[in-house]
Amino acid sequence: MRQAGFALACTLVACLAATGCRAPTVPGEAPAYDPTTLTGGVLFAWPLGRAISVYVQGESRSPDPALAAAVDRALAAWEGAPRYGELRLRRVDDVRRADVVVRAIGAAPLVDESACGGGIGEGAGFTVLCASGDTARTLPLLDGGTSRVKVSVVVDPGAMGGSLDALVAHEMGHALGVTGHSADAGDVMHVSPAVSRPSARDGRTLRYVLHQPADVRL
Amino acid sequence: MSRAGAALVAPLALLAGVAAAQPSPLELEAGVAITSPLLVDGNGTRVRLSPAPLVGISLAPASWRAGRVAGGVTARISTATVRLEDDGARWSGGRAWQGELLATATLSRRVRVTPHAGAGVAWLGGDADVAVVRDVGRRPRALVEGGVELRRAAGSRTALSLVAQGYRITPAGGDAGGVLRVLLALRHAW
Repeated sequence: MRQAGFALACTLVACLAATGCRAPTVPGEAPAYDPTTLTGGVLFAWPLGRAISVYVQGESRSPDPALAAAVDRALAAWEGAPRYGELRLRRVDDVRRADVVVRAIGAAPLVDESACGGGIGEGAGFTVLCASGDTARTLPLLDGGTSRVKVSVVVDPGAMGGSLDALVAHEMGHALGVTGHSADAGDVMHVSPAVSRPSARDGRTLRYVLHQPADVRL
Repeated sequence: MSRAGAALVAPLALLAGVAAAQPSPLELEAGVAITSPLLVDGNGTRVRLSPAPLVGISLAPASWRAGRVAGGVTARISTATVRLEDDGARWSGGRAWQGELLATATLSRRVRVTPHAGAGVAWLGGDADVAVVRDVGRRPRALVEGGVELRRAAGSRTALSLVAQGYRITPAGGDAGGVLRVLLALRHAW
């Protein structure tokens, strides 16, 4: 019995030595640019592991097909940025189940966007989100129904010279917590992005946002 | 059946076939594996696996015996949930599996406590959208293990098995490190 115990102890030590005694690691990442310039240094962040539901509204209150397709592409692109499934993004067909509402600028809003007194950005698109203490304010539904909407995204499909994908991807970046702009036109979070998908720098900045203590929880 | 599944089932089927073709000692095992963290991210996330149910089959033909040492081969498969933790937050990263194929050396089973050692390869894969599982999957990595089997009586066909095994992972953009697993299983010899 003693010999077996000794043999087991030796093999355990050998295993530990073989494995190096230290777990595999990856270094932490700094953001590629300041993700809070448009919110005065305040970091908005979704809880980790959260499934974020997005509702796409059209001018006739049913989803605009082109806008919905652009949102789907943006969600797929941004969902690939986190390394550990920290965010899961999905489109829903009921605004009452939505955390984010995306509408074309010509569509009548479903949520009270004035609750935040304005939005991030201007021109071709803007994103409405604001704080109520340390949590994001829930934007009320204008029909009086129960709302869980935290962010409203408004885009002008006719602007940006037809690059709806770039506009939507940019505004979805704001909705996910990157409330700043990049100085690099190769990043989708540039004020006038030349690309329609988040770059590696955009992904790094989102990952940084996700893993910092939030000033405001979405 | 996926290619990965076929790659894992084939050795098991081969072992079972060899055992059926000749009177060779065959052992089945079932148990659970506990794994150390797969990855620690400098941003704060830890990637772990849940306790993983496992099954295995071992073959130790009489012709592979030299004195008190019996040579053999072992194949195992286990599946687990990928668990992610960061600053108090916890979420699931989907399912992951590990398959192993090892050559083993075991001291005689005619005593109550039988040590063994093994070396082989492990494959890690799964449907998890977690970077470390994506990075290291489909490539075999060297695996070493050591353990003991405990029997109520010498020569008993049933034994409690305690095994420690280890292998290394190099995540993309990161530093290599070790993964340690402890396996607790019930083994039964035919």
